[in-house]
Amino acid sequence: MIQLIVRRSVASLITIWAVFTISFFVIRSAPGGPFDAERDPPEAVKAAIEARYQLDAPLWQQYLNQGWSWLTLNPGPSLRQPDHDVATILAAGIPASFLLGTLALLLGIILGTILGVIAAWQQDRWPDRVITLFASMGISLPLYVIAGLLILLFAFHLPWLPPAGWTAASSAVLPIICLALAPAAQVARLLRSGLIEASQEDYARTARSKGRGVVGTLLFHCLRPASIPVTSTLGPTAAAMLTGSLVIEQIFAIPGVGMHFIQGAMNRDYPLVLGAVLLYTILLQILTLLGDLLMGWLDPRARVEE
Amino acid sequence: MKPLKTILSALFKDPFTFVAILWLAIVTLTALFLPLLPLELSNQTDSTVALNAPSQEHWFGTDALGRDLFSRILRGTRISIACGIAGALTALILGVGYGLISGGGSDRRDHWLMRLVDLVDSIPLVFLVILVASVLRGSALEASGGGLGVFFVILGAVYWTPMARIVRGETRVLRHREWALAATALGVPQKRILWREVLPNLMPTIIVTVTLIVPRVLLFEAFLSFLGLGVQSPAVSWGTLARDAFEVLNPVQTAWWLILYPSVTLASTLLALNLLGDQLRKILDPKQR
Repeated sequence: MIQLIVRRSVASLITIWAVFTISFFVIRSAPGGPFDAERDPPEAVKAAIEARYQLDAPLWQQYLNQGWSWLTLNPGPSLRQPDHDVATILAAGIPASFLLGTLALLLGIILGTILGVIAAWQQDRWPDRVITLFASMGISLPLYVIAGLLILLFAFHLPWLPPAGWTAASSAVLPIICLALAPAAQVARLLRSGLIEASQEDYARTARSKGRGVVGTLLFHCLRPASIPVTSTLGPTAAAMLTGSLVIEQIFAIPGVGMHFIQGAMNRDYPLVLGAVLLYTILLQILTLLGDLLMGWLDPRARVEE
Repeated sequence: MKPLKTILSALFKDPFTFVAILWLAIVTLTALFLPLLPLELSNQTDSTVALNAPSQEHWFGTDALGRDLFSRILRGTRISIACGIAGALTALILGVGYGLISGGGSDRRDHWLMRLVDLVDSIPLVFLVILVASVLRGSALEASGGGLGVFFVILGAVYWTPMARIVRGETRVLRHREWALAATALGVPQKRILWREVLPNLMPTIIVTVTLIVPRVLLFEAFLSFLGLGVQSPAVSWGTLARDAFEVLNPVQTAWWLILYPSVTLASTLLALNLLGDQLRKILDPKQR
């Protein structure tokens, strides 16, 4: 167990370093600097600005400096908002993004589990067909389509919920539901096939022959083995949700990390974009590791080291 | 691989797949023969008909600048489909090449090449792609018209790892089959065996995988364009149409058609491609039967 955590952490560190390196050089290969939008400044002013942001040092030295300042969590000021630290800007976005992501993931898992169990229980009858259709739509439709239709319906046609913003609790309802639908569909699909497979195993038949009902067998005997494939896709699901949160934060005007990221990408605020990419990478590594640990708990066979 | 005739007749037997193929054919033909359609009106702005609801004159209504939405969707088809095909081709070339090199080489080379794929897979590529897209914005490359080409390659580069994994796995199995061993015994060089013997046997798997990569690339194009980092105006894609729709979304005057029609077009194309891919897998993959 500890060996696994250590090994995975080393792999994660390599990944994070690779992301940092690639991002750094992609950014530096960009034609034009972040100050091009302003009027062409006199040479001395330009040199002073470049010196301030250490853009005049050799590239390898900039690379090392940047790496060090990120390691010490002191990435320096944003290029576009010079009065603000990159760390401060990102930190200001974290609460909203974290709340949105966590609640959506929880809702997605709960909804997906309920739907998956119902679909497996009612296999090949109409509830199953409806759920399967919903699941394949939830996976193949772009998020903005779902968000757009929900806004049209619940914010404009029936004025129950605000169409955008992040002020009252009611304004969080639509974004959370939108973001939760894709993971719910994914969980429901995987759980349905997992449950159907598990219910044909000998132990499920034994449970039924002892007098356990069909639903009881599914819930108390089949759910644990059936949730193994679901857990193994936690990493990709989390990645998809992070991507989705960019769209959702844009549509609903939520002041989260995603909005800063997109804005930074639009006006070339290099440190800010780099910070957001690193933040997302670290988060994804942690979630993937959690998924693997959870899998080891669910499935003793996965604990054995190869 | 089965003869084309058998595959086609098996595909057309299922009514849903038939409809899906029909829809995909219409979309592809529209994209191909767009210049022949009478669409000179599509870019004409006319403020007197701005944000008009669907009518006899404008089947799908008009956008905020008074442009006809129906012809804009037709124009968007071209870039969206081109993105899907170009992205899938990039993924195909990269993935198949990498998979063959990895699966066809020594165990040690295979091990390290696959660790590299693991590394790539653990990187949140979407965010790196956004970074690259932001670097490309307004660059000289984009101004010269090359931006869209780079954009296609970026789209494909995101989805090459699944293809590489699948091809690598199958290659490792196939190159130890009797016929491959027989070829080796006859003195055929390994490269030739991979290229002439193993690759043709991989075709069913490759076709199915490519069919399923196209909708993912389409979705990704729509995602990037929606965020404003993909296809840039005046070029139109299904993603930019949705972006335009959200810009004029307000409770006073709900232009529902601007969201609905581009969304439905994209969604039905995605569903059709997924359906076709699943059906092809059922027909081509002997393990499924």
